[in-house]
Amino acid sequence: MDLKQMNRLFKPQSIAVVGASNQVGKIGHTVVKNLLESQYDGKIYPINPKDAEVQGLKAYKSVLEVPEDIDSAVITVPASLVEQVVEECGKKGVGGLIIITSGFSEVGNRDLENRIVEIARRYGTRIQGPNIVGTMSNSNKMNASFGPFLPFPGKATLISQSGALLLAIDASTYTRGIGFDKLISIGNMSDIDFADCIDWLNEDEDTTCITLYIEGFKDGRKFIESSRVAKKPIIALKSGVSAHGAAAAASHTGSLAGAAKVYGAAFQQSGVVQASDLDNLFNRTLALSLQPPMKGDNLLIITNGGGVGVLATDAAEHSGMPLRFAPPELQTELKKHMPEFGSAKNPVDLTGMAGLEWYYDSIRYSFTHPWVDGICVLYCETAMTDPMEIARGVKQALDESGVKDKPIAVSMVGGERCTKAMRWLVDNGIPSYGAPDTAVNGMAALREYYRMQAMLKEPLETRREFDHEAAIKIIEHARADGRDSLTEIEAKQVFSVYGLNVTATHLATTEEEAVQLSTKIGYPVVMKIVSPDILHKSDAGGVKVNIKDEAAVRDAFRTIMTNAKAYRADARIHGIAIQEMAPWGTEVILGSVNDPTFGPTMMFGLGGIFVEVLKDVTFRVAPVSCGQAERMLGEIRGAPILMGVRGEKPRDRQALAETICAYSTMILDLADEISESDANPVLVYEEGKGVKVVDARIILKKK
Amino acid sequence: MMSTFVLDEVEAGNLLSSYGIPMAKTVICESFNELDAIARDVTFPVVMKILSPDILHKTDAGAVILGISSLDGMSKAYQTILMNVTTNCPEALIKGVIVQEMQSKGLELIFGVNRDAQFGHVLLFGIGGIYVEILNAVSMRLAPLTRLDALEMIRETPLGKVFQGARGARYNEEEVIQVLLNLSRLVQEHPEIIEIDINPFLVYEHGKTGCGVDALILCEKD
Repeated sequence: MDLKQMNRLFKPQSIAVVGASNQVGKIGHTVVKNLLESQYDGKIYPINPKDAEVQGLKAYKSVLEVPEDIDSAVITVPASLVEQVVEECGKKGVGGLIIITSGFSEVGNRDLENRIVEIARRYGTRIQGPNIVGTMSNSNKMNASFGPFLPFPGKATLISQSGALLLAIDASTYTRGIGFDKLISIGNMSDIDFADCIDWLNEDEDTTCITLYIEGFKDGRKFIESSRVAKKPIIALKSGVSAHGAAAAASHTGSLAGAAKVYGAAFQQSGVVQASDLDNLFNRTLALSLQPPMKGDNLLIITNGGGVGVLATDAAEHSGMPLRFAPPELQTELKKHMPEFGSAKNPVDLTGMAGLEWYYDSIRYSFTHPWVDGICVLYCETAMTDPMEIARGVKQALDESGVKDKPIAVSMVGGERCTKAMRWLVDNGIPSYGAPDTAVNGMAALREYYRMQAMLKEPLETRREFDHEAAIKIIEHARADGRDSLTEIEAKQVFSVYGLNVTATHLATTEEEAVQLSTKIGYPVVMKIVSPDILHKSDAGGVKVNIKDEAAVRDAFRTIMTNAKAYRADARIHGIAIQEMAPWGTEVILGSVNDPTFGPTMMFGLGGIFVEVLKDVTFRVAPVSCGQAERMLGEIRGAPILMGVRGEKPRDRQALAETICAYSTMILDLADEISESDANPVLVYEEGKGVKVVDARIILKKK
Repeated sequence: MMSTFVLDEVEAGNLLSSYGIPMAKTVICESFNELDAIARDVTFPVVMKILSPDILHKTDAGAVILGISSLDGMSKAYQTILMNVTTNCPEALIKGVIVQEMQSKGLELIFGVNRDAQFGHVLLFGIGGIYVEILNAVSMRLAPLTRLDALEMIRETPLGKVFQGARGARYNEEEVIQVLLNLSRLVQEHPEIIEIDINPFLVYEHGKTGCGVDALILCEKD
């Protein structure tokens, strides 16, 4: 990674403003004014072909005329002039360009955008934008944008694909009291994208949390790689989660792989915390930017009101960390700091009589207790207590506890005095919220972050040996035949190459062969027509099951052939597949798509009503480790079925997880060949008895 | 403590049918000699199961036999069921053996009513079958229902889509609306009903009429 040029772009010692102007209302005027007003302490070089001076600063006709080095250049001239400016900046050796100008790929002007990137690459110059607001940085006192002011200061950095949203967020940081160090607008992402920014921010000491507003990636894999190694929390809000990639889906999996699911999978696998909406993005950012991750599930809630305690309890369960009762010795200690009718269980209810002292004592003691992984302090404004006094007590208890590796969040419900106290808490590094459920959700973000980090430490084991050439040979044979899908038999052969357990299936071209194969496989057998022109085999009368002897095989062979010819006279018929009849098991479906953003992506779900009506499926970007695969099994709504319900023995989850792993290896290895695939159904037997792929489909990429 | 009584599946089926809710044809056989007449009255295949208020898990007790397609099969099933029950549940009160016409595989729904202590009768609709608790894909409304209530109940579950698919509905929504409205009317007229459970109620594609397969009704004794 070219961190040096990114450094010059994001933390410049000198900035040129190309298109700088004395004329109020021009963006080139606003940017110079903003740089001056933000008290930027580096050098500012206005570039203007006509004026000798811009807003009191000496102006130059071109960047090439500036006598000293220029780290970064803000470009505000019309699109038609940008190419020439980029060329000049390249010659001058500028590190990075903030191209505010619009009129590029966002309006279909892709060629122009490609040309400026090409020029910049030639000189090793980085491009931020085009079509952006610019960059705002509190730590650099630099407002290199046309936004009116720097954001409310804080420790998070926001990267936004939308310029309008960035401007709106800038203003709202003050009313929300949620601070940012930097707001970075990346617009069309012609060069610098989310992954580049994450790489750079990972080293930026002024940023503790990376906040993303995402519309869409160009290269999903690059994002995953950068996020996986990031040392600080990343939180993302993804918009536009409907009707993605589903339009031209040829398989079950294709129609189920909506953007929400695939992006969700990618975020999981790269350790990125997700936000559900804009408010949630802010609230979670606050917690993630100020507090350490939460290492265990034991959240302790300390409150002076029963109502807010119950609301927080509900929220904790909703966020996947249901409250547990505090252990007896902790309860005994806590009981000393509350009246007789208080409760020490969890929520710890200090009652409305609670003053500063009880809050202080219970927080200080609990925070040091090894059972406690994090604390949520709730406070309802009362006539007898002063919120600011309570706030100071919370802070003092934390400081004096000496504990630094556990998170805390506060919620104060009340009026103006509470608002002031919460501002004070945030200024002192303690995230505070007006509602108890929001505070709990902030803690949940810290918990999710830790859980995902632990997951990322799992090795992404590479699968056992497989014969790549054998798989390619099967595929090439089909291509040579002019087909863009494999027959069931071919698909199963490919599956077996990667170690998937498929039902024994062989092609019979004559009645005699059918009899021989049936005897070899063992009765009963299933017989199915094999024809690239007959996709819906049952509809064509091309499937017979439970065939028990030789006479029945002969009979079925003739019937299927007759039916197939009647169904479609010109169908190419390869023969009839003779297949072992697998005993009944729990039906699941595995599948894959080649996602336009993330590449080979894996799907898992239960069969029947679960997939058809409930769309109860889950995704992961390949490769999928066995640990991830096990998590997939637990994520679907019908998960309990695999544990064994209504007296059934538990299903072989381990074999199923290994199958998912092997499947993901296959789609990754054959990423250039497979467009979509599924194994439907896969039968899962009881523990120790494995799984069996009964039907297989592979659709090839068009070449 | 309120005292209650249960309508067995035959009684429950009869009550529901009389309110216009289609139920699978079910008859009770109280002695071996009746089998012959019953065989002539039903359409094969049939299912036979024990009728006993004391046996809740009939399958576990070996008291359910599926796919019977002749009088001969009925005779054997009758004997097997009684023998299994005598062995496995010797204390159980036996009211007879049920013969029910077997239904082809369809989409399994659940219809239910519960008399809530605060709100009175609440109707429930959703995905039925054996995984009903796991899926918990149900909607609820207080009785009495309007037609619009019934429609919303259907559409707020994941089943909504299969009843009004983009490519033309696969299943008949009107049929479900009628069951809900009839259930609503039934509990309005019978406040003593505490619970109704129809699970599964099968519906079919291409206009084939659906029907309830298993039903249970719990009432308050006055």
